[in-house]
Amino acid sequence: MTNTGRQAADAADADLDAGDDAALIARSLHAPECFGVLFDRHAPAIGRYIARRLGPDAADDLVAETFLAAFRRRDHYDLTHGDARPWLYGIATRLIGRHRRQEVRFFRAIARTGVDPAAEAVTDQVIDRIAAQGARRELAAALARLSQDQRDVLLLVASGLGYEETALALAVPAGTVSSRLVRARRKIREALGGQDPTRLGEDAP
Amino acid sequence: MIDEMEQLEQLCAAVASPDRQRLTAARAQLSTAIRRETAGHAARRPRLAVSLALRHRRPSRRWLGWAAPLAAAAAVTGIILGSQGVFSPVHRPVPSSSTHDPGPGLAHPATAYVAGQSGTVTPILTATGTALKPIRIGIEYGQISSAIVFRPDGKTAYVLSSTVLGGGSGTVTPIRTATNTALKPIAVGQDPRALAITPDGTTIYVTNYQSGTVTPIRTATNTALAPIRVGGNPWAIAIAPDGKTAYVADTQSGTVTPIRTATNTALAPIRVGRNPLAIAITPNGKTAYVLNNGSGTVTPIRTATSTALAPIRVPAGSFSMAITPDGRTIYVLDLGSSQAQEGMVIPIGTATNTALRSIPIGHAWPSTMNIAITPDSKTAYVANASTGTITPIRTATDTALTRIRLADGAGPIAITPDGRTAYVIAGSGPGRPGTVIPIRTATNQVLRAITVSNLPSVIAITPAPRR
Repeated sequence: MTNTGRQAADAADADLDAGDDAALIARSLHAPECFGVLFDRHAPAIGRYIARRLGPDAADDLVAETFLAAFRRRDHYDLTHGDARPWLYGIATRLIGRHRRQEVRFFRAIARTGVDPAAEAVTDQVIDRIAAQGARRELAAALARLSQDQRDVLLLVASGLGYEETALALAVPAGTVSSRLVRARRKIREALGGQDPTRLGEDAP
Repeated sequence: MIDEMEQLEQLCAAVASPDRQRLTAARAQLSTAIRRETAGHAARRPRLAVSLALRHRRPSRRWLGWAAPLAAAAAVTGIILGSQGVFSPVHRPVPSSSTHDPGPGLAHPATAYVAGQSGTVTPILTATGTALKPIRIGIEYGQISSAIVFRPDGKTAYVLSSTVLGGGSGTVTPIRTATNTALKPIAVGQDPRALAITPDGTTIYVTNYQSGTVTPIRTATNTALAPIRVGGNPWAIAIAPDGKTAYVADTQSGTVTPIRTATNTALAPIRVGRNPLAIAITPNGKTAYVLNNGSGTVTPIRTATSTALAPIRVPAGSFSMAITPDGRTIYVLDLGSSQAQEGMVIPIGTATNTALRSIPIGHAWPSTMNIAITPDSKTAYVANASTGTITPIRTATDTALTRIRLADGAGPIAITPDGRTAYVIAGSGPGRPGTVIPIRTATNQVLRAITVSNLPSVIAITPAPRR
């Protein structure tokens, strides 16, 4: 629930500088210095996404790399998309793809130890946290077994992108996103044994 | 019981936000990398750039360059910013390779106006190459002046300003050129992007990107009239030489909407291509050319019938263009989309509507390029911000002449009405004023740099008085 609070705060922040990304990117064609604003808007979310998949340490480097790659492609940005998130998530996803083995190792380690280096250190919802602990191990183990394509779709959608946005990010048709998602979800469900993971968590603290 | 998708959402949402220090470090890393690529001449001293930035970690107005206005926002959003500019090259005093001597024949009454993020406009007397006292134009901190137009009689300059961050309303500030005094800013719509003035000087039209409108301003009274709805995200605007029609390009729908200036009504939109970013109209008013950045095309529009003709292929990603005053050639600018490619100028012959052989101007990617053409249409000056060079192009043959190297970067250009001098905005480093470099067009000789207010982003010169 703390996440909802943070998302609300993020949304409020976004309202403060409501100019759309497309405008900013187009302006940065003439005035490259404007591109920095895009970082300020989206780096926290992109950072969390990368940290989720590769761990917080790798996230630091890849965030800067993502935005630099974006900067270099800014003259090819489709200005009809006011929201640059799918584009940025797509770039981040491609960079993550270069560290495939690291990602698998990362999820396996979480599955093995139950310690998630990317997770928030403190939450006020202690019970939620404990309940989530067990589920996290199962989830991490299942994620480690997915194909890269499936992980991409699953984690982009789980990070808050819609199907259309995910399709945009991965440059695949929306139908492909749906079918990959169905298969990936089935695998996860099977891995979790169709059980209620919150209850599962109580057994495995 | 919650399903596996909700669990995954929780797993993703429960990720700790990157802490401020790490974010600042990433931002600094990005800034350094971008700067290294956008200001080729500054790359020689990257270490100095970093150490300067570290020393001046505390955001200050003087030091921040483009990040300065962001700092204001950061105070609200809680994001700490790296205190580095992107476009700002490391400071180096501009060597005065020659003394600026306009000579008796060079004197003309034109004044250049330079504006940017300083909240001021600096007038430069082009006869002597001297800057006058900057004029405060009543814009807020965090805003950028991005365009200037003049009444044809040169008596008033109009400066368009909006927020650097995008969003928010903008203003147009009139400046009386005889006294260099700013009048009260005129409020326009949300996130204004471009402006154009009718040839008779009676009306200015401002595109409001976020509002999806165009604001007319009556120059006799300096008042805004009711905004005209065009929809989408209007950006580029151009007015036909007869003053009867304004053409507004909508980046959202890929259309151009003609506006009848007599009644200020929007006519039926004309479909062009994706991401239309620039419009140029031939001096005879017969054809409006629209550059579609997304499609990689230039669409000619027959203005008499408002019909789009067959698009002309240019590289996708082309983002800017200019037409020669004689209307013979359009020059399209393309950064080149990888390190392997050079920035290109693509000439389009308007007689045949065909793209001619591209002219390379050195590695421009991923920074930016600017263009200005002499009034006699003989030379196009193309600035490459990446290499800090100006490439003069002889338009008769579309050949590049010897590149002019500037010590401090090469940004937007303006040329005096007599065609004798080109003024180029050079880099503006943190904590120091901006510079404008005059170039004598007859010899392409670089003259002494002129100091202006910091972070300049636009330059325009008063028109020649009509006879």
